[in-house]
Amino acid sequence: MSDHPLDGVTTHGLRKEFGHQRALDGVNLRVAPGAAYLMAGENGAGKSTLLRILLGLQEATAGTVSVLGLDPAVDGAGVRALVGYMPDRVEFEHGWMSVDAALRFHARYRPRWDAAYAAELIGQLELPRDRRLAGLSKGQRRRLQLVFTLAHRPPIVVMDEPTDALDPRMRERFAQLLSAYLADTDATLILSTHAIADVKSIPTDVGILRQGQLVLQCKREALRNRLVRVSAEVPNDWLPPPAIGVRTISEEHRGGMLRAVLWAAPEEACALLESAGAATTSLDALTLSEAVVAMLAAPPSWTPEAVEVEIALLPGGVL
Amino acid sequence: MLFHIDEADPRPIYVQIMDEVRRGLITGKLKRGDPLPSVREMAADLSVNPNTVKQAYRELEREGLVEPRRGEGTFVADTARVSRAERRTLARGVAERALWDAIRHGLSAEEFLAAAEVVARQRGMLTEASAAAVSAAAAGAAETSGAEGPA
Amino acid sequence: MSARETMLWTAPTFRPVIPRVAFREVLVAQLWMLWDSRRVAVLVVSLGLAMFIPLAPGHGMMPFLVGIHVTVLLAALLWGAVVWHAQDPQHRMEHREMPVDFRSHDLARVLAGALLFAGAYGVIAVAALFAPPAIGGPPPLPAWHLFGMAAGLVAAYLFGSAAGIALRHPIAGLSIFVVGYILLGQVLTAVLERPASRFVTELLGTWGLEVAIVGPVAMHTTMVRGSPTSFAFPAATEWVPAVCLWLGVSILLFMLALAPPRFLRRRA
Repeated sequence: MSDHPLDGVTTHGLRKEFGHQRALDGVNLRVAPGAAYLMAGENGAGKSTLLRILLGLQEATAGTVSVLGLDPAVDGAGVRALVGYMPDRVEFEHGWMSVDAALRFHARYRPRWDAAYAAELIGQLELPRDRRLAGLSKGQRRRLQLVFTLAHRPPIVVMDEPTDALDPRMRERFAQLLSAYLADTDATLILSTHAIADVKSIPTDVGILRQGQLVLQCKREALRNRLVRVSAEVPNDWLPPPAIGVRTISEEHRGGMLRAVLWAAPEEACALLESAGAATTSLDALTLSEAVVAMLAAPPSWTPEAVEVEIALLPGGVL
Repeated sequence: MLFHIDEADPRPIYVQIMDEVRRGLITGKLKRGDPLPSVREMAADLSVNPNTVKQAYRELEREGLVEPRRGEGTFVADTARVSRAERRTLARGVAERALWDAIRHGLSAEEFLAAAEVVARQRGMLTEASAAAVSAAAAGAAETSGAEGPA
Repeated sequence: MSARETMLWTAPTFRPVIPRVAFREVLVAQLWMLWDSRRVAVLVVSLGLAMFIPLAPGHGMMPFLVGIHVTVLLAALLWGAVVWHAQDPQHRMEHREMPVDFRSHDLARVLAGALLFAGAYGVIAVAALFAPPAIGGPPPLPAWHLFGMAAGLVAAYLFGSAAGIALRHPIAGLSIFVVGYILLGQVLTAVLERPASRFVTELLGTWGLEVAIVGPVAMHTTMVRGSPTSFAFPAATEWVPAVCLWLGVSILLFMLALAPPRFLRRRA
C-alpha cells in the first residue's frame, strides 16, 4: 500500500449544483488505497451524487476528482473499468435476459471477469441461473448486482445502499462475502449506506456528509476513541462547565440525571465529569451505527475541527 | 474455538481479537501448535475488515504468541506462553468491564467486590488461604502503582 | 496536498493497468443482446410486411427490391428507434454504467442494429433473386439508383437512431413527425393551389422529402392500350439533390444526438 497521492480516491473542492440547489459543497474526499470507507449521511445529503461523479456518470460543477490517478470527467470509461459499482437502483435494462445470459453479457465488457468466482457467488447468494431478470424478486436482483460488481475483481468497489432490499440472512451473507473479497484482493471500498449495522466492523474509515459538506472524515478507530456515551448523577441546578459543554454532542438533563454523548475519550470523559461534580454511573463506547447517528444529530455548525479549536482555547488548555 | 468481538466495546477490534487469542491460550482451547483461522476466514466469520485481522495477527506475532508458517497460515507458537504480566493485564481488563457493569447497575465498587468474594467462596473457587493472597496482592499492586488514578 | 500540486505530479509511482474492453467485444455484446431480446422480431415482422405490401408506384412490374423500397425505408426508420426502446429512462443508466465511453457505446448499439438490418435485408435480396421475373422483365437498375436506395435506407436508419438516442419516447416522436409531415404536406398543397411562389415549389419539389424517398424507385411507365410496354427510370438529376440533402440532414441529426454540444445537453 503506498501513500502516493494518485492512489486511492480523492476529490478536492468538489462542488455540484443543480440549478440553485447545492448538492455538494467543497468536498475533500480522501480514501486511502486499501481502505474500507463508510460514507454516511442522511437522504439528500449528496452521497449518491458524489458516487456518480466519482464514476463519471455525472459532471461536477467545480473541483477535481482522482480515482487511481484518473479523472472520471476525462476518462470515465477507464474509471468504470477499474471500479465495481453497485448503484442505488434495482431495475435492469434487459429484463428479458436470464441470469446466465446477463452474466455472459456483463462478462463481455470485463476482460478480468472471473467465471469461477462468479459461479461461487451465484451459489452463495442462491440465485437461479435460468430465471429471467424480470422474474427475480427485489432481493434477488440486488444479489445479482453484487455478482456483477465483484466478479471482475475490481481494485475499487463502490456501493450505494448495497443491503437495501436484502433479507437478514442475506445481509449476513453479504457482509461475509464482502469481507472475504477484501481479504483476497486488498481492494479499496467505498460504501454509502444507512444500514451501518449491516456492514458491522468492515469499515476502517468514516466520512459523514451533511447537506453536501463532509463534516467529518477519520479512521473508524479514532472515532471509537473520541465518542462516548455517559450517564451521570448530577446535583440540582448543575450546569455543565465549558470543558464539558464544548464536547457535548447531545445531552439530556432531567431529574438529577445527565445522559450525554461527548466528544472525548472514555478516561477523559470520566475525569471531566468527576471534576465537574458529576457521579458517572455508566460509560459506553458507541457502535459505528450509534456514532453516525450521534454525529448527524449534532448541531449543524458542529464539526470536529471547530470543537478541537474550542477545546484548545479553553482556559487552562486541554484538560 | 469461537471468537467473539463486540462493536460497542471501547477496545479497538484488533485488540479484542488479540485478547480472544489470549483467552483461548489461557483456557486451553488453543494449544501450542494449533492453527488459527486464516485471515479470510476470521474476517468473514466476524464480519470485520481483513486488515484488522492482519493487524491482530501481526501484533500477536510480535509478542511471540503466534507464528506464520509459509503457505500454511498462522499457528500458535510452540513457545507461546501467556506471561504473568499478560495475565494481569487480561484480569484488569475483565475487572474493569465487570466494575463498569456493576456501576451501571447502581452498585458501588465495595458492594461489587464484597459480592464477588462471597460468590467465589460459595462456588469453592476461593479458599481462606487464596483470599488472603488476593488481598495481599491487591494491596501490593496498589502500593507499586500508587498514582494510577481512578479505576 | 492542494489540487494544483496533485495535478502537477508527473511521475506517479503507481499506474494501474486498466482492463479496457475492445470495441469489437462491445459490438458483439450489443449484437447478441439485440438478437436475444427478440427485438429482431420487430425487424422480421416489419420487413415481412414490406414484402407483401409494397407501396412504390407501379408495383408488380419492377425489380422486387425497388417495389418494396418505401416500406423497407419505413421499417429502417422504425428499427432505428426500436433498437433503443426501453420502458424507463432509468434503464439507460445501466447502459451508461458500462466501462465504455458513452459515444462509443451508443455507436456500438447503432452499428449492431445496422448490421442486423443489413443481414435481414440481405436475406430478402437473396430471396428476390429467386422471385419470378415481372412481365417483360424489368430494366436493369442503374448504379446511381442503387446509391439512392442505399442512401435512403441509411438516412432512415440514422433518423430512427437519432430519435432513439435523443428522445424518451422515440417511437411516439417518430410517429408524430411522420403524421405531422404528411398533414403539413396536405395543408400546404391545399393552401398553395393558387399560384405559389417558385421557392416553395422548389422546396417541395426537387428538395422535398418525398422526392428523396421515392425518386430512386419511381419509374416512368409507358402504356399502350392499357398495358405497359416499356419502363424507364427517371433522370438522376431529378432526385439526387434531394437524396443528398436528406442524407446530410440525417447524419447531422444523428451526430447531434450522439454528441450533443453543451447548449443542447440535458441537465446532467
